[in-house]
Amino acid sequence: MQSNKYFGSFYPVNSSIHRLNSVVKLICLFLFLIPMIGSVSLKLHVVVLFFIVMLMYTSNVPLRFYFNMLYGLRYIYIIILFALASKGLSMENAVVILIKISAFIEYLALIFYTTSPSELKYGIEKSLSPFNLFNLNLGRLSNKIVGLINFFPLLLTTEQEVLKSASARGLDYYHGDILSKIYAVVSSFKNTLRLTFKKISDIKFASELRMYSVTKFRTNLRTNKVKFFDIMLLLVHFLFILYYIREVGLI
Amino acid sequence: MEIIFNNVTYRENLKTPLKKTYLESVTFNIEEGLVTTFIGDSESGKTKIGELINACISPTYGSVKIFDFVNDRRRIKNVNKLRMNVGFVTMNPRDMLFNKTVKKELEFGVNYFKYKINKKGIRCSEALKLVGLPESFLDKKISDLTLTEQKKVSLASVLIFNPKVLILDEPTIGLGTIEKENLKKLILLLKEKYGKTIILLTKDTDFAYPLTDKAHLMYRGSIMASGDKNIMTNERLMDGYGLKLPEIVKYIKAANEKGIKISLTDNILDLIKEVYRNAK
Repeated sequence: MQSNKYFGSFYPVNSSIHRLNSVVKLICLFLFLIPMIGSVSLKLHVVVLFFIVMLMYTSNVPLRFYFNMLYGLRYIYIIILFALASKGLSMENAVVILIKISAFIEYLALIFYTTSPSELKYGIEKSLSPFNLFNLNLGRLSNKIVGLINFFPLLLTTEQEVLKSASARGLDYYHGDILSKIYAVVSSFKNTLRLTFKKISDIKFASELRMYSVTKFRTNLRTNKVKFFDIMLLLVHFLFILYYIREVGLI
Repeated sequence: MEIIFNNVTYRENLKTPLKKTYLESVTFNIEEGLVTTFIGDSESGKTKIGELINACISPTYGSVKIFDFVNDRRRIKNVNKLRMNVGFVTMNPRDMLFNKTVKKELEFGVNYFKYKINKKGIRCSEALKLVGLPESFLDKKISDLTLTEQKKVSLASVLIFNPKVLILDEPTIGLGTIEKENLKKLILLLKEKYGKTIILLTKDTDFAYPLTDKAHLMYRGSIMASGDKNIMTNERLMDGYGLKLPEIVKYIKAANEKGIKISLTDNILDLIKEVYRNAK
């Protein structure tokens, strides 16, 4: 019951990954996508996976949280592998595709677990700043992106509250078999969804009360400085891209 | 004995950096037909006691015996039979109310416990009357209610299925003076006329003192003192654990220090009589 409490949402502990600059984290995600999408080298994929596991370990977030996320998507891997196997996929390619998917999921999980919503909003705003040229409202856009990212964890938390309350009044979830669990979740889903949307509007209202405006810049308070570890992380990502460029044969 | 806590420890987020112990080796009994109060500051583990009795959570170690049921990490068969007899009113009504209208909220427990009630509507309006709300509230939306009204509806939604044990978590938060008095009267009515077992989880000693038959003082997940209501009159004990003496006890102690002898009472009318006698 408690294990999924932080599923996909910020995990509040102190670690070197938590202290990284959110803008750098997002830039690294974009840099990471380049070799991951283009490369077919098994060597590079194994090194990248090892690097991500190392980051996961240093983030102080329990590893089972990451693996739970991976385990939850097991059927999707099987479907993808079946689809590709029908087109005559080799063993090496299958392993590369599996690593690609899991590395991408774990990288996203790493960012969500180690970046608070306000940092994430700041990071998205800053990393999208080149689009200011087109006179877009980036504040509103980044607000919407963060809202979307936080929707699922908020839905899960609300669902836990509703299920607890419903269990206390006869619609049992915790002591029943799988069928009664499904019945409890389905019966309470409509109310859970309504309460989640209400919570989101409450959060918006509370932010407006604290003078939050999507059109105005906020004080940075020198918390988002780029430090030594940020530069190191960027360098490692550039190394991955360099390897990919050599693999393609551009150098 | 109705409810028995046997060496209960409750922890959350085990094997993670956010590991937290809410209850540590707690052992006590709750007797039938009495008002048992758990007093303690925030984070003393009071709410978890309520959740454990209601089997919404399972103890990490130890066991909780509630009537014929045992809550000890194993699946409880027929758990609805247990929950039908234990009504738990949470501290924050927003954690408890999830239906759209008051009527749907009140009928929820009755529907799922498969109560044999022909006159559901009458039962709903009677439950509302018990908590001091008019019948017109039945069609109101939960989101349109104030915190006090939500608090009353959450109590009514539990009273409607007539549980043997009623657990009230911080029942006085958001209530005014008159509403607190009405709640006191309701608790006394439930205890004396209907023989209900009431469990109060509160830090409001003014409210709990006149009602309590047995009291347990909690601090950081452990029980520091147990006994009758007189543990709430121990100034040293209460100060030591961040709680305040009931106002009535404070007044009597101040009077005694000034040489006016007034015997300890929990009733304001008795206190007035005593003061009047001494003034004569």
